[in-house]
Amino acid sequence: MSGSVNRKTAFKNLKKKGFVDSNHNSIDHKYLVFCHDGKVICTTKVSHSGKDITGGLLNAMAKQIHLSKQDFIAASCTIEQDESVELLRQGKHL
Amino acid sequence: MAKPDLIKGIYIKLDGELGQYKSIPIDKLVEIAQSFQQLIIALAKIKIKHEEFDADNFTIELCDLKKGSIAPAFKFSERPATLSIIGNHQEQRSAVNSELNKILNVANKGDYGKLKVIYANPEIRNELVPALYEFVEVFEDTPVKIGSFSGKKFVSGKKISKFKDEVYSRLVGAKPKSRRKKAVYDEVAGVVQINRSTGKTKVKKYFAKEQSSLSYTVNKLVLNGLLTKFNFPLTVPVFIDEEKKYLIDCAPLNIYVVADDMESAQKEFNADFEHVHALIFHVPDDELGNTMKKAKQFLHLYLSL
Repeated sequence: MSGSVNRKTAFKNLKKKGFVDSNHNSIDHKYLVFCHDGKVICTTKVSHSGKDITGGLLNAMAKQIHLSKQDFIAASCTIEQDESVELLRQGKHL
Repeated sequence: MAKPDLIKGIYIKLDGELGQYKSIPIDKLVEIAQSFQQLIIALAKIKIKHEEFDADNFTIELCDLKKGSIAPAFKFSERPATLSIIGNHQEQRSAVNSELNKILNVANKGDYGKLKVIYANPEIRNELVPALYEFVEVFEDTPVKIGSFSGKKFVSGKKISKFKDEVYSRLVGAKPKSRRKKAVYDEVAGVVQINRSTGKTKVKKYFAKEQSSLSYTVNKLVLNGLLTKFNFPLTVPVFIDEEKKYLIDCAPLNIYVVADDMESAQKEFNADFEHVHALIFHVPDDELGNTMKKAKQFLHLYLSL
């Protein structure tokens, strides 16, 4: 598994996993919010421009949505929404 | 108009930032002198027959330093100890000086590709081009002219134009081996003493990067369009990672920022804070997950009256 995620792919896949656009955005970033069972669980953001998400930024996004770096890469690439929710439940973030 | 003459003395006139103080840093002068010396030796090697070549005959010395920007001058050494008994050093120097003028004309027009025509033999180009490239690069972005002085007037100045890497590659079939060192800066935390009467500052001590932990303190922000003062300042740690990125971690608010510099990191933190505030500050607890509930409590600590 490589240590980088394409920014657009991550954005698209996070939305597939249940993240929705926040009503509040900045000039540089698009904020995403994850809700479950009517509760706001976490939020993260994806830059409007730039290269792939790597290094410190990958760690930061993973921390924000309470996943390990590896799980975050998987969540923004392959794993299903149910699995993402289960990971959050295991981490007692729900 | 007289050509630049290394027997009488050649002036290298440095303008721009390097020359504006009418002085020159010692290490820069040494760099210029060394690269110029290497260029002269390279020219001598290609011009003088192998059996008659003696590098000592082509030693140059600093012979003057004119102000009005700054212009150090170099000429062939006249010290007897530097003159070898092989060959006629005066004829040899004259030949090298002519060769120098030839390449100064090329540098003046910046037409370094022409060296392929002037020096059709690749072995000769391999000798000359790296030395010339290094000499040109030593000046970095400083505007440079090479010439002489007539009284106080600088004359017959040949400009030293930039030597592009791709031209270098075409001439010698390889990329330049060494580039000028770019200034590399480290940012450190320190203690600065400020003189109240004069306003002068002095760094009393600073901490190496490994020892230092930077921080960012914020005590007011624009939230929902209103400048909002915090109950007390919020200080968050800032780290610099191995990729020189600035990281701000504020776990209680679930804010993690990564930016290229401190200013961007602070700006991004403020935007994230504003977002979290807008998202959860007025939301009932039973509509928040555990992390967001804690973040809301944290926000209320700083913002509720």
